[in-house]
Amino acid sequence: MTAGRDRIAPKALERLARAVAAEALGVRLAETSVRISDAGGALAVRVQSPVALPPLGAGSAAGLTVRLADAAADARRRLAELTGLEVARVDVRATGAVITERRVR
Amino acid sequence: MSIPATRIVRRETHSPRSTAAVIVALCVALVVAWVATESVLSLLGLRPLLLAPRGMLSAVAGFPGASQAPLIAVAVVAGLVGVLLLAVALLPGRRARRPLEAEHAIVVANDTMLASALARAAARTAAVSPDAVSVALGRRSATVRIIPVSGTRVDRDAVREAVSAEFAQAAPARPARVSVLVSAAGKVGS
Repeated sequence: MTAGRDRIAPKALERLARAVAAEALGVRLAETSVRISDAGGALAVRVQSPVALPPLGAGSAAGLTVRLADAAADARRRLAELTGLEVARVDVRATGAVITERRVR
Repeated sequence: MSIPATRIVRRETHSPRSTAAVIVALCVALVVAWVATESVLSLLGLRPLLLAPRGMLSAVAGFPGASQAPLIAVAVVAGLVGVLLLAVALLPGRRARRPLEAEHAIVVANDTMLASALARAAARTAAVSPDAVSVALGRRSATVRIIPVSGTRVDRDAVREAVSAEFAQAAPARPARVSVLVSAAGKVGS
């Protein structure tokens, strides 16, 4: 009669958030670290990661703050989508830049 | 319920006072027996066991003139014993148990057992782990406290209904009002 109960362990949640953040920032999974806490009943994610940027003078580059805000919003949306949980915010702290030849999607 | 059944239920749901009564009666009997023995000994002109009746009376009469420390100590101890005995005599002395309705049997359930059943129902409905739920069962009320999983919302009305249904299923003699409190902060992961 009752469907089973789904459980997502904190570790799994953290791993997933790392993968999502790494993808959004365009860096390798191993370079990012993530801490998840509770914010008034919703999830609050703090990401520490370098960020992938196109080389200087490449013209099409948006500002770094815009890039980070976009990545955070993207990660937030993806994480909420994948887990079905309410994600209050994703804070990103950039610890460095990885210069790419072409813009990473 | 028949008369013996009500008596049995009462005996199970209220704490017995026989221990206190026996201790008090024993103390009174000892004191009376000792005073009687001393009186007889003094009438016969024999040596008293501890204190002759005349000595007892003069000690009691002279006690208000004693120094303050023993006066206060005796007053405090006597007052405490009096309040304690009065409380034991007058308070209902209910145990955390309640009668359930059953056919051809008298069923008295422990509140702890009932509360854990309610907690299980609440955890299932709220989709949280069982240790994120605590239930306090009073005589006429049940309070369910839930720490939600971060990022999910707990449907309080559904939980209240499930807990009420579970409680009604146990068929207690007296209904209880169920209130559900969901903690504002959640716990990450489940």
